[in-house]
Amino acid sequence: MTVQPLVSTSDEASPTITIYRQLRGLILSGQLGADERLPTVRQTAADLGVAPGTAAKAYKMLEQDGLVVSRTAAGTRVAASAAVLPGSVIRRIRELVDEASATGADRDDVLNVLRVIWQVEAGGATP
Amino acid sequence: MPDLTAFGPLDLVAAAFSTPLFSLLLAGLLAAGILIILTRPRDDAAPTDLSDDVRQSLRRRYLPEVRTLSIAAAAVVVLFVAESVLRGYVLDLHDAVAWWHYAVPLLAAALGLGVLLALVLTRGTALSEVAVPPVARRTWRSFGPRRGIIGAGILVLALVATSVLAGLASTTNSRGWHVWLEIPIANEPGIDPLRPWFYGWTFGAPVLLSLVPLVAVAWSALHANAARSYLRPEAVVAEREGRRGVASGIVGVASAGMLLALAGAWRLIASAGTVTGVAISGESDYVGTYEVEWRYAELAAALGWLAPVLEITAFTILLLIVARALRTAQLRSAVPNGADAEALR
Repeated sequence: MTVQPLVSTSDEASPTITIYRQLRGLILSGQLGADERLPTVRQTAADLGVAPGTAAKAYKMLEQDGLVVSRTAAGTRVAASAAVLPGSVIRRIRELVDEASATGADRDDVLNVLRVIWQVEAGGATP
Repeated sequence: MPDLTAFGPLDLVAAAFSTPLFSLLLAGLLAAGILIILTRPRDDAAPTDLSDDVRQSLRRRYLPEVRTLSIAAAAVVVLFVAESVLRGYVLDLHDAVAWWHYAVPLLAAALGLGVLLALVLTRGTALSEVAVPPVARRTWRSFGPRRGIIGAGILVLALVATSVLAGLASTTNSRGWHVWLEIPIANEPGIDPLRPWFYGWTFGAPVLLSLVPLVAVAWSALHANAARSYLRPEAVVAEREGRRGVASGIVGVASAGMLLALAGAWRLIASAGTVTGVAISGESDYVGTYEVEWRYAELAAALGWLAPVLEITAFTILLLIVARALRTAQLRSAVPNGADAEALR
């Protein structure tokens, strides 16, 4: 049995491919953590102004690549094997960025302090 | 006119706290104090580097929502006070059972949040001006204050538990209303039990029925607020702040409505549960004074002391939500363009 490609390879500029690449980039760059739920198909479609079917095709492609796992009722989640960091760490990093932005903290200061604290907490290990 | 010198300071304090209007007065002072102490100029300039067009878009989307939330908060206070005053001093309801009394703040909050939900779904959910690729899944919890949501969940449980347990403990009056608590006179089976007014099913059932739409509309408003698309990439940081403000207002109004209902229920439970005796006079085999005690009397008394605390907390939350919109309006009139960041909080 052969698996039919969801989108023709010649259609490189299609919205499906664009969404696929964006989400793939988010996963591989570590912006989405292991076991973290992807936005719903409807939310992705609304955010990007495309039809839900288009977003759904991109999700299918991610699943075929082993980047996400879809389970009924559990939604589509980032596969542990594809993620850079655990989902819980990514969520806290996002909260840190939000809080730092809200309080007007300087990005470099935050990163420097994070390095120092990491070094202290990890018992002298260099980050 | 009663001689106030006949009462001790504790009696006077207890009498003052026996009315929710005194709680409103204290909450007003508390809210004013919080505003004076905690209000500080925000110097973070994150949203101020936005273009005028983007600011306009943000203003169009979030300012009406902040105003609607403040109107909803004010409506809860006004309806609660109006109902108390009308029922207590204007209308002659001595023979009626005010079954709606404890449900009023819940319905007022649900109504206000319903208007906000309609606003978010219509005016606040325009398509993105420039598409923003989604990163994280946005759910009803994404922008809500975590502690506030946990607190609201605890309030739902407390209100349900109070209504169900008190309902089970209540008995009916001669007209079939579940508004009495039956406290037997110990060791004197010939004497009718005491039957003080109580927070029975007649009051608890409307509260439970009103809680359902309040929770549903609050959840829907949180979800709609979070799930809508961002306007454009450079406005995401400002929009997150705006959504956090809206979400905290939603949780605040819903929590305040529940706090007021719960406080009212606890007041009535305390007044019934702390009855300590009955005196029988006239020509009867049972002339004399009998001590009675409900087995949960101590718990009822504790609830009675906690009720004003809940009311003060509720009114303070509501007044702070109202004050936020007023402050935004003041800032906008004083500094037309620089107030956008404030408006979104």
